[in-house]
This record gives sequence, C-alpha cells and structure tokens, in this order.
Amino acid sequence: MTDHPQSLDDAQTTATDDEQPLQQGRYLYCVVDTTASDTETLSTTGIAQNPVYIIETDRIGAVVHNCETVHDVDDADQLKQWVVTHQQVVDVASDVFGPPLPMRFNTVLEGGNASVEDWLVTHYESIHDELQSFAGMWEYRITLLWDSSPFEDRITEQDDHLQELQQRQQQAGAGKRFLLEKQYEKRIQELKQNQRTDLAEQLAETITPVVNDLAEQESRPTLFDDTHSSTEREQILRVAVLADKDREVALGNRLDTIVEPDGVEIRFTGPWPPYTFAPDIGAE
Amino acid sequence: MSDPKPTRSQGDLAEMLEMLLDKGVVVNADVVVSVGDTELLGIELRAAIASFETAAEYGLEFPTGTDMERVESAANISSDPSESDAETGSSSETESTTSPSDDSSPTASSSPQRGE
Repeated sequence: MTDHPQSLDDAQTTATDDEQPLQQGRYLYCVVDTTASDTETLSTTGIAQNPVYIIETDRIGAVVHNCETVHDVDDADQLKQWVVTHQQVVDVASDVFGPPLPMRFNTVLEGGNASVEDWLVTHYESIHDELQSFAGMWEYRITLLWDSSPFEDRITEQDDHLQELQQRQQQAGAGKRFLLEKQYEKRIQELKQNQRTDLAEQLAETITPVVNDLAEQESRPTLFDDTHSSTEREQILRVAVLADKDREVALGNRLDTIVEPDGVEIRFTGPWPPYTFAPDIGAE
Repeated sequence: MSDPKPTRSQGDLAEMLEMLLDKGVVVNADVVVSVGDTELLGIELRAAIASFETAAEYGLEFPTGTDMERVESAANISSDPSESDAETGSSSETESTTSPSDDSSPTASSSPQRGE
C-alpha cells in the first residue's frame, strides 16, 4: 500500500502556532482484523479532514491518517472536536472490520507506513492475540444512580430505631433533644450507606453472569456531596464491562431488574470499542 | 420503573473523553511521538463537563465565584451542540455514525444507546 499524499486541508491545518514537525507521522486510530474486508480506505475523513486508510500486514490493519505536525492542544473545543472525530473513525472501522483494538487518543508514529508496518510485524503475536480475544466483544458502560429521598421516607416510617429516637425527641428537653437529633441523623446515614452498598453489590451480582470482564470506574467529579440534599441523584457505582454482542439484550434485561427499588436509575451506554480493557503494546 | 437508557448526549461526550484520553491501547515504541498537555486539558475538560452536567441536570447553582464562561466554554453546553463542531462538521456526522447500534439493536428500553 502506498503513502497517501498530504491533503490540502491538512496542509492548511499545519499552518498554526505551537506545532512540532514530524517525520512522516501517522496518526493511529485503531488496529483491526482485516479478515472481514479487503477495503483499503474508509468512507469517512479523520481529524482535520485527513483521508483515513489502512496499513495492512498479514490480515492485521492499522487505521491511520498522514500528519506532518503534532499540535499542542490548548483549546477545549478543538480537543472535543478531535475526540469526537477520532471516535467517528473508530466507529466506521468497527462497522467494516468488527471490534478493533482502539488506540489512546493522539497516538502518532513517525517513519511513514514502513514504520507502522514494522510495528505491526514486531508485535504481531500480541496484537493478533488481543484482536482474537476481543472478537465479538464490546465495552458497555453502566452507571448506577440513586435518589435517596424515597428510601429516606420509607425508613423514617418503618425503621424501629428511628421511630424510637423520634419519640424520645418529643419528650426530651432542648439539650437532650439536640443529641437525639444527631443520633437520628447518624442512623439515617448508616441506613443509607448500607443501602448504597447493597445496591452496588446487587448490580455487580446481577450482571456478572452475562459479562466477560468488569472494571469499576472512578466516580465522576461533581460539585456537591450527598449530605445536604435529598433530591439529587448520587452516583453509587460506575462500571465498564466487556460483553459479547449477543448478550447485550440479556445484559439490558438484567439491568432492568435492578431499577425496581424507588429512586434507582441506570445509565447504560455502548457498544464501545474495548477501550477500558485494551492492553499496552510494547511495554517492557 | 426507571429506564436504563442514557438520558443525555452530554453524558456520552464525557464518557467518550474519558475513554479516549485515559483508556485505549498505549503504544510503547521508539517511533511514538509523545504529545504535550492533552491529558491535563482532558482532565480539566471532563471535570467541567461532569460538573456542569450535574448542576444543570438537577437545577443546582454553581458556587459563588465560579467562572461560568470558562465552564460553559469547556463543557460547550449550548442550545445547539453542533455549533462548536461546525468547523469540521463532525457533530452531525457523529450523531448519525457513532450509533452503529441504532440499526442493529433492539428498541427495547434495555438497549444501550450512544450519541443521541
């Protein structure tokens, strides 16, 4: 396969500040198993409208575009555009070739197509094995959210200890009432924490039978904690799972069973390429 | 019963940013070009999106002193999300092409969805 000429659009995008010249750079989107298709190009353009093509060796293909500079990304909107376009290219490649090995954003190899081919050959075995292991597999992302107010309403009415503390508050003097109020609040927090743990365990237990791998993810940052508002939904658990496409419906059906308790909501996205489960290649 | 469908496209963007900037195959080779401060910018951007998303979704307000212009700029919470992508036209394309599951997935509420 021959090198593609630098496009006009790409040439235009190189005329900016903060650029680092590259020696025949190749921006790498993903690696695919080319058994499913002989196509050498994809019906989409890449970052900065660059033509996207496949560098193949022995039924393994690297999806790339040519680049002559690396830009220092200092603009959030631009970064967002590039990320979206990057994912768009990976999605098109996935449609043609099946689940890919997705590269981390902004992976650029120098040395032209020969360098990429050399990299594919050098790591052929591990790349081939990883592609095989992900065959038919996709990543799904699941977030368990909880509005605790219905739960609080219920335990306020049904928990014996809370009922007792409430009665004692009504009969106590001001000083003792303050202490009882603290105990009451502490009891509610304990019960809520138990419920959070139960919900997280229930989610993991429910989906484990239909997924091949599960990786808990860090909570996304939020501006508020959960101690002063009973109306917002808090994030209880966020997981990435690797599952066979054929089990997608089963996974969704199982998630449906978890939303029975009041105030529970599930966010379920996918299918994504297996970003979270992707290996490092060439690590010492 | 709640619906396990994702409810916001901004949520997908935050997820996409996390996956592409933090996850994915890391290539260790002499020919790989190291890239500057993308990672740090990504962290800032994701935090802004997540925070704005949370606040906007629940009708909450940001703490006094928050630079709202910067937050909104980073999160790009505008009435038309395609505005910021007009230059490359990637938004509208993405909405139609980043959802390969739309055609193949069942329409039941249990189906995961992206990029809506």
